[in-house]
Amino acid sequence: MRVMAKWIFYVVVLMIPMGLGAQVEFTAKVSKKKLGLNERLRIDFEMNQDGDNFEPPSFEGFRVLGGPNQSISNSWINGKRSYSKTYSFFLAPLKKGVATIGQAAIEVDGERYKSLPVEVVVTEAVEIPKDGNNADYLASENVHLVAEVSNTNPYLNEAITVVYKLYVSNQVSITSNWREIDSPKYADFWSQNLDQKGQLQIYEGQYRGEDYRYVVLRTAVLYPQKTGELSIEPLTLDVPIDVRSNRRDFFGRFMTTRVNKTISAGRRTINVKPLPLENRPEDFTGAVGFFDFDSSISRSELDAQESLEYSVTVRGEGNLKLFELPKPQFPNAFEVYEPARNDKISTRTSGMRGSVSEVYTLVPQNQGTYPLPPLSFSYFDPNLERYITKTTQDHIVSVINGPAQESALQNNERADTNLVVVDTDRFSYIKLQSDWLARNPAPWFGTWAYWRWVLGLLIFLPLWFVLSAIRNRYLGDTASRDLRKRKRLIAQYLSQAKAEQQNPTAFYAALERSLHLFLKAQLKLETSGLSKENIRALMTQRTLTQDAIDRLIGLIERCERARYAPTTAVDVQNDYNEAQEVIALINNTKR
Amino acid sequence: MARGLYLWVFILLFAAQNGHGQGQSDNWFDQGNQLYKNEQYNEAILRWEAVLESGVHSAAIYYNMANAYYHLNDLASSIYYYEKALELSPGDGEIKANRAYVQNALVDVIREQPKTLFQKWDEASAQLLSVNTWAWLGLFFMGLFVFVVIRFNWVETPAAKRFSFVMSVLSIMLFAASIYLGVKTQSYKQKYRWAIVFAQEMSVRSGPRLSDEALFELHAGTKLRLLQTQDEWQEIELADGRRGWVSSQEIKAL
Repeated sequence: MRVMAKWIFYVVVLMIPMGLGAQVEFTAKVSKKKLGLNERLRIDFEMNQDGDNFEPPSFEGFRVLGGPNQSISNSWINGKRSYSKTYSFFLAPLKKGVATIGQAAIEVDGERYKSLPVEVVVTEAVEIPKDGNNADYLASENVHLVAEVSNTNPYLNEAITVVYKLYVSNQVSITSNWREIDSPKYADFWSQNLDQKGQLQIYEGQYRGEDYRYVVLRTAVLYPQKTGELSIEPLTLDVPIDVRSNRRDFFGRFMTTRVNKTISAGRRTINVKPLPLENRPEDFTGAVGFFDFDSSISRSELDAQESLEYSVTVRGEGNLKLFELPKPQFPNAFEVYEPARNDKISTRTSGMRGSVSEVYTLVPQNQGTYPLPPLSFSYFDPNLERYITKTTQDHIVSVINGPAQESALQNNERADTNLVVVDTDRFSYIKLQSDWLARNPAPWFGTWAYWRWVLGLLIFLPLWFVLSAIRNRYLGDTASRDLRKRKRLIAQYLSQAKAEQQNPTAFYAALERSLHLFLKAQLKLETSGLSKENIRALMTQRTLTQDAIDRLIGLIERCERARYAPTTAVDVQNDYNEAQEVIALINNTKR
Repeated sequence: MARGLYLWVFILLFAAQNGHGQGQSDNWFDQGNQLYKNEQYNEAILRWEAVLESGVHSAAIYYNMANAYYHLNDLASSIYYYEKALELSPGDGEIKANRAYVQNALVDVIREQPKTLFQKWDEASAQLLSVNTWAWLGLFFMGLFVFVVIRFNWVETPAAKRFSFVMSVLSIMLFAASIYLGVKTQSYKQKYRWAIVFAQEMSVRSGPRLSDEALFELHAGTKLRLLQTQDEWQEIELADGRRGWVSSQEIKAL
């Protein structure tokens, strides 16, 4: 019982496609969808089941020239039956414009089926009315060359792709090779063709809503180099097309006619947008795409005269071949060689992809620590529609051993720079002592305060002159000066004698001693040589007047007499005055 | 009255020289030195900046700051403080030697224009001594002049009188020379103002507008002479004679 049910299930399942295969198809086909006013049109209403009660549409805007013509074909191929029944009409259009052929109806097994309405464009009258079955006409209608542009409104330097596709409908076939008459030229573009390798692949696709087969003939990646409207020159091919004719050969196959057609992809215009000016970084060099930016050094510690490599790399997708890499700046103590450029770029339909790098070889000449400044790289991201700047980290190179002074080579170059030759071979340590100065001292030099100092010093000159003049005037009065001098001398020599005036013996002893002292001082005599003759001689030499000498000698004699023969008949007061006068006289004359 | 004024000026000058927060400055300075020794360069610089903010400076502190900035790989700041140190102490070999290390690491090499011997002397004379030193020398020679003129009248022997006369002529000439050089140094300082490029890279333009043509590029640490200013723009001259305008924000005046 269960086995039986299984069998029934299988039979039912297998029957389903047969039932589906028996579906009714009723279509309307026109020989051309576009025709001139003086041309003719054939319309076929085709069904795959035997239908009755055919009801043609009204054919508004057309005049029926012939029909309906009925034809039935019934064939058995490998046990499979194919059946078709066609009603054909020949129509002539009555007016220009878009005409719609309405629905036709048919009845199959008691059910009504309707065809879809067909739109036909009627144009002006053409010179040579085309025959819908003409091979040339069919070839031109069924083979199309199309240039597909990925983006007709790109930014400057943004990659666009142009794909040339050859569409071939099912009615015609291409069996031999085509010839390229005119290759497209991409003026104002940087272009790269991506060639198809090996056999052309055939794809199924749609062209204006109809099923076509197509091959991709060529793909080109373009980078617009100019803004504004740029045109792509067309690709033109000479294609041999095999068109099926209505005639049949001996074996009943359709005969084909070969038609050579020149087909062209048509001119395409691309409107290139300029890159925005606002927020454009200063270091922007025209890179458009998506990039990574990096820099690296091969070693960070080395000795002078050894080499290291500094590489700058841009990696990503975009116009890699079309911009300059940022140029790094190196300390002047580095010898820098021309960079080696290293491109690893592959071009795909989406554009260039890969990396570009420049490797600099550096040879430090002196010891020291050298920071290599960071590099920045800017590009325009067409998707985000803004500029992006990427910066690398800075690298520090320590040159451990080497000369501290500049190399001879650089010395020649910089004979006159202010660079000093380093004497010490080490970077000196900081200073540990400091004398402090005011940071913003009040200006002193040139101010009034300073000149007051100068004048203050200068004022000493007149001051001194005035003071010395006063002193001179004070000293300049001779009479009083002599008087003072005498008083001083007398006070000097006769003070003792003056004190003994009441005692004549002591007075004369003191007076004599005083005179001796005076003469010793005045005449520079020794006590031993102080005889009266001696004194007289010396006094005469000194051009003293005879009177003065006599008075002096007389005075000395009186002193001696008073000492050896004391008498009462002495005039103490007189002798004291005499001594005063003599001393003054001698002193004056001496001068 | 006048004597009292001079006395006060003298006292004030001495106070400014010696008594100015000596202990506090030395203390911070030493702390900075200690931090430098421990390679805490940023902290050391903060200490030293505190000293500068207190109103005093010295060649030594600028030199130390420059060394610290060199260790921090800030070449522009380093050069800036070396130049400041050299302003205060133009003949210091240690400062010049360490500055040469930093100059080796700079990008730009500015070739100085060749100068005639006279120009070199002219410049050297304006940088020989500070304005204040010339002022003091002027005062000294004036004092000497006054002294020898008085001595001329004082002494009696012909030899001493001759010596005094020669000395008085010499000292008044030296006084005039000191004043002349002082004025020259002062005007040189006003005329030659310097700045250091702090921007990593900057364009020197033909005029004070962004739209003006960029003549050449300069990099951090290059020394410039300042000429005229308009708004945010500064006209500069390089040692090799090239001139142009730069944005004031990208340079720092000494």
